[in-house]
Amino acid sequence: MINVKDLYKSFGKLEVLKGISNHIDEKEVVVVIGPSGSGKSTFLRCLNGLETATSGHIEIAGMELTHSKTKLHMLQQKVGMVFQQFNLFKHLTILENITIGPRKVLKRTKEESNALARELLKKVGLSGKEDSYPDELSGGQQQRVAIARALAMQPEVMLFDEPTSALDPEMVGEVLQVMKDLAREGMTMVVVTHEMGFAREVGDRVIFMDDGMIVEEGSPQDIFSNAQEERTKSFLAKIL
Amino acid sequence: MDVLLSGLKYTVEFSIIAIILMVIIGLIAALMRLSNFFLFRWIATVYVELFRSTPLLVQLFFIVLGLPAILPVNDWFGQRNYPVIATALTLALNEGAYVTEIIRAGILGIDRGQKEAAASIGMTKFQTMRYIVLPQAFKRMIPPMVNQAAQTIKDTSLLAPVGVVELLYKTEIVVSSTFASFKFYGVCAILYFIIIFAVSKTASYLERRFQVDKR
Ligand SMILES: Nc1ncnc2c1ncn2[C@@H]1O[C@H](COP(=O)(O)OP(=O)(O)OP(=O)(O)O)[C@@H](O)[C@H]1O
Ligand SMILES: [Mg+2]
Repeated sequence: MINVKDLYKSFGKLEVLKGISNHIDEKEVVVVIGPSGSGKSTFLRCLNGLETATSGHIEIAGMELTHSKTKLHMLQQKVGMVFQQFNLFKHLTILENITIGPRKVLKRTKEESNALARELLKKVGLSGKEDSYPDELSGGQQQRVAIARALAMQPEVMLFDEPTSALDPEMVGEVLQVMKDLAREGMTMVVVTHEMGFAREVGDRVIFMDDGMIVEEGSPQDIFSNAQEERTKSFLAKIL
Repeated sequence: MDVLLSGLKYTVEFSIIAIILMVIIGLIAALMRLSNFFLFRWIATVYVELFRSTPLLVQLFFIVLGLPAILPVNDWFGQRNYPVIATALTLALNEGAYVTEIIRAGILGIDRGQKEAAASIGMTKFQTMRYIVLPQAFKRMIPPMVNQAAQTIKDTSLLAPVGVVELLYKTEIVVSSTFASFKFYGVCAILYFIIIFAVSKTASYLERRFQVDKR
């Protein structure tokens, strides 16, 4: 499903990703952890072409992400992304936020898109909010809409970049619940998060990144209770 | 008085044409300035700087009266049409340079996350502009745009010296034949005031309605 080989990424002189290689299977749920500035977001953003890799090879959802920008939007249709800051379209209603992708990108009819959006809203527990605007919703609700918006494109992979870290503690649970349901339905997911409960419950694999490299990876059990690398241990000691 | 009113008609016509053109020109130039293609950026930047750093009156003299001396523009557009077309276009190009910066600032003011979210659902750059960025930028642009439109209407008064018939020119004709300058220039000023006041009131009304409907 995802194949990354020797991925390097620099911003000017700053080298942020220093040779990342990894393979992620269909239906796998991979949790990425690591200290601030270790390159987790950059890695995720390279996977759907929001950042262009300096060098290396990425294959995702059956398409190759080469250095040229052509057909990037075709790939992005198949790779959903959920951001830390939600990034809902502020000028559109909740329903329109979800339908704009299917309607304008996939050229579905209005009826079809609306029906799909209502179904997704029900799934994330937000039926009845169709006509609200994003700034009328709580953070947790906005993030669930953002997940629905991504799902409306029927993606093959979903990327999550710290989806709960901008939320008040009491709203974290509702968003994680939606993500857990999604994982159990067999969605392929790459999740940057420090929610260890989530990683333990639905994660198939945990990747620990530091300083632009993958330092260690393994099952949640392996990483959380039996880490081999010093850097992993000291990081976990700080957050657990 | 009749002469003044026919001048008023020209002022309104010129203003409308110039405002429509300036918005179109401004939008195109703003998108060019923001494009990744250096030639587009370069052309648009030269255009904006050129028109913003020379006085409108000089531009008018140069294009309306100067160009025919070196180019057969009168043959292309006709002796009678050229001054009219050139005047409207110069006015639009001049105001368009300011509109370019208004639109550019409006677009740049939109949070980067909005564009990234649009890209993440597979929108092309064009779709992102059309459905996500411009609608949000448009709302922020209304107040400065209205100012610019009012400026354009005021600037039609500069068209008098290049001989295109509009309100101030008509006033000059009347004044030089009657010497009642205070009265007539006063009427002229009031007429300009009425037009511009009406424009900005209508605009702020529209702006308020827009915000109620679309939050
Ligand atoms: N667009 C950019 N331009 C320049 N530097 C950047 C850019 N984006 C990220 N960086 C730098 O790259 C490094 C890695 O950033 P990244 O956001 O990938 O880290 P992260 O692991 O996601 O951290 P966090 O946990 O704080 O989100 C940081 O030093 C950051 O300052
Ligand atoms: Mg990050």
